[in-house]
Amino acid sequence: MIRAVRGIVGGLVVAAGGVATAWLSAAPIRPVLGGRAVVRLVWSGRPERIDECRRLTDAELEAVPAHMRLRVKCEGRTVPYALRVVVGDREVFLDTLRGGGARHDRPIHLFQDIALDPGEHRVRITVERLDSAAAAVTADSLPIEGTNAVGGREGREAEERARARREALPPRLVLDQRLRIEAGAVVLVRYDPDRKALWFDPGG
Amino acid sequence: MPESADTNRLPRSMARLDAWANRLFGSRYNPLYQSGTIVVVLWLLLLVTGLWLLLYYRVGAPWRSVAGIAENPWIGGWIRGAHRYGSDAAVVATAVHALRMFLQRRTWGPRTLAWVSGVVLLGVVLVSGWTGFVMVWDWFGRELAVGGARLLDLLPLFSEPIARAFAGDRPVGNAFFFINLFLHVALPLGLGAVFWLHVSRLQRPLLLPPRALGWSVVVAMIALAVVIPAPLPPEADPYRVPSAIPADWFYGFWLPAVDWFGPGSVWAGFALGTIGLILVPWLTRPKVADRPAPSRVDSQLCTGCQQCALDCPFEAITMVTRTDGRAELVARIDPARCVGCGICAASCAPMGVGPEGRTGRDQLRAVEALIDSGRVTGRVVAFGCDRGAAALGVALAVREVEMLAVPCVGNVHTSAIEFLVRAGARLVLVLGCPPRDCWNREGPRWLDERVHHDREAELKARVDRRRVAIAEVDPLDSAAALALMDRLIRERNLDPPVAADRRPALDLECEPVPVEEDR
Repeated sequence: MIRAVRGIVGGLVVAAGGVATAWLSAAPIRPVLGGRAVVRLVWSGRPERIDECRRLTDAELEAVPAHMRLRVKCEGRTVPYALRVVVGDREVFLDTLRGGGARHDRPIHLFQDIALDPGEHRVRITVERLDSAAAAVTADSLPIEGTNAVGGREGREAEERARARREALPPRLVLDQRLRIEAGAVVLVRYDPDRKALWFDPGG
Repeated sequence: MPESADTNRLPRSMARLDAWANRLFGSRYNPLYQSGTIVVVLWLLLLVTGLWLLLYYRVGAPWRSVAGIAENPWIGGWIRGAHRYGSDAAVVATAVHALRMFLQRRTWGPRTLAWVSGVVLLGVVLVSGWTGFVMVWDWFGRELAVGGARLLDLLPLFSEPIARAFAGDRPVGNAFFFINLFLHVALPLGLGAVFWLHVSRLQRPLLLPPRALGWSVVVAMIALAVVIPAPLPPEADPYRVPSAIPADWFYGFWLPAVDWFGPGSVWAGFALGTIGLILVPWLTRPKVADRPAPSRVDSQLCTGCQQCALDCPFEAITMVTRTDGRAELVARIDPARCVGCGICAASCAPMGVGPEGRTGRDQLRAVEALIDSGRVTGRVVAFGCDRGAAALGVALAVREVEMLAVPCVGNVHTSAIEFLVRAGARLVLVLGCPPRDCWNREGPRWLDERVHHDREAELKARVDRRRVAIAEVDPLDSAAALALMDRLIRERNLDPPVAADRRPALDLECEPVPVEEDR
C-alpha cells in the first residue's frame, strides 16, 4: 500500500475510533423511571418495641457478674408495620416494614420509588402496626428505689426505654392527599417525628 | 523440530485484524500489539491531567467547580476532556490487551500471576473510574452513585441503606465527596503496586510504547477533547428523574442491568465474571503432555557464561555455584517460571541448555537429517514460528521451500543456520512474528542480535550473510512470503545454484567439552 494512502486510511481509522469513543462516552441511558412522575418514600422511624420486663430475684442477681447486674431485666421485640400505597383506587405498593439490623431492633429505613403517570392523583399512604400486642409499660419495667446500682444505670436503662417508646412510630400513620406531579418530577414522602405524621415534600 | 500446532495460533479473524493494522501502522506501531503499553501511557496522561483538575476541584461545590473547569476553553475544557477520553481509552486498551493474551493463550503457567493481577488491575480501573464520575455530581454521577449504593445495600453490612444518602431528604455531605476524591487519587496510585506485580515475572518488561506512538496517543486524546468536548450533564437533582442521561458506557455499562435485573443479578454477573476471569489460567492451560517441556541444563557443557540467564525473558534461569569442583558458575532452571520457549538453547554456544528435543544439538541433528535427504542444496529453507509463519509451510512447499517449524525464532541456533548455508542452501529464511507480538517476548530481538550484532551465540563471520534473511510475515499471506523470497533471491543475486562447500560433520562441530581439561 502506498505510504500516503496508508497514512490517510490509518488516520481515518484513528479518527473513527476517537468518534466511537466520544459517542460511547456520552451515549444516553434511559432510566426505568425516566420521564415518569415519581413518589419517593424516604423516611426513617424507630419501630415500636414490646418489652417484657421482670425483676430478678436476689439469687438470680448474684449469678450475674457484678458489673452487669440490673434488677429489671427486659426482653422484647420490635413490631413490623404494613405499608400500603393506593393511587386513586388502585393499590400500587404493599410491603412489610421491619426494623433494620439482624435482630430488627434498629430503626426502619425506607427508600422506595413509586412511578406514576404524570398528572393529578389522589395518593393514600398508610403505615399500620401489624402486631396487636400493646407495648408493656408496667411497674416491673421501672427502677426500684435503692437498687439503682452501678452509677445509676438502672435509671438510665428505664429512661432509654421510655425514650424509645416516645420516639416510636405510632400504630397507624395515614397520608391521604391529592397530588399533582409533572413528568420527570419527584415528590418525597417524609416522616416528621415531632408531629408523628407523613408529609409530601415537593422539593425545590 | 516439533510439529506446528494450530491451537497455538491466533483465530483467523484476529490474525486478519493484526495484518490490517500492520499494513496501516507498521508492526512496530501496531496499536493492537502495543495495547498494554498504551494503557501505561494513558495512565500517565490521567495522572498529569488529574493533578491539574485536582487544583480546581472543590468538594464543597463539586458540580460547580467542574463546570468552571469545563467553561475555560484554554486550560480547562480540553484537559478535562483528555482526562475523560483517556480513561475511556484505557478501558478499551485494557480489554484489547486482555483479549489478545487470552486468544494467544498467554495466560497459564508462569503467566498466571500476570493474568490474575491484570484482572485486579481492571477492577481497580473500573472502581477508580466510578469514583471519578461520581465526583462530578452531574446526572450521570448521581445515577452511578445510586446504582453503586443499591449494589452495596444488598450486602448485609449496613443498617441504614447507603442509597438513602442520595434520596434528596438531606443534602449529600461533603464527606462523601472527600472520600470519593481520596479514593480517586489513592486508587490510581495503588495501581502502581499491582502493576509492579503484573510485570514482576518478566525480565526487561516493556512499559512504554515507541515514543512516537506514545505521543500520538496523547495528542489523539487531546485532539478528541478539543474537537468533541467532553459532555457535562446538568447538576444532580434528586427531585428530577431525567428521561435520558448522557452516560459513559465504559464505566456505566452495568447501570441498566441494575434497573432491569436487580442488584442481585448484577452482583451475580460481577462475581461470575470475576471468578471466570481469575480461573482462565487454569481453564486454558494445556494438558501436561501437551505443555512444552521446560529447559534443562547439561552441567558438563555449561561454561557459566551467563548468556542464557541474560537472554531468558522470564527470569527462569539463575547462575549458581557449582558443586562438581569446577570454578565457574552453572545455570539452573526454575521449571515453574520456564515457558519452554527455547530461547536459552540458541544463546548457548556449547549447546548445553534448552528444552528436550530443541537444544542446539537437537537442531543440528534435524538439519543434518534434512541435508541427508537432499532437500537443502540449491533450495530455500525457512524456519517458521509455530505460532505464525509455520502455517505457510504448505503454500511454500509448492515452490520447494523446506519449512522447519520452531516454537519461537529465538530458539533457532545460529549453528543450524550456518549448517544449512554451508550445505548449499540458496537462502535460509527465518520467518518470525513481529517483535512486539512474540509469544515468548524477545525471540525475534535476540535472533536479530545473534545474526547481525554478534550477540552470543552469534552467527559466525564466515557465513555468507547474503544467504541469510530474517523477516516478519503475515501467516495468512503466502503470496507476500513468496514475493519476499523472490525479491531477496533477485536482489541478493542468489539465482545461480550454489554448491555445498562440504557436508558439515556434526560430531566434529559438537565435540563435548572435555571436562577434565577445564579443571
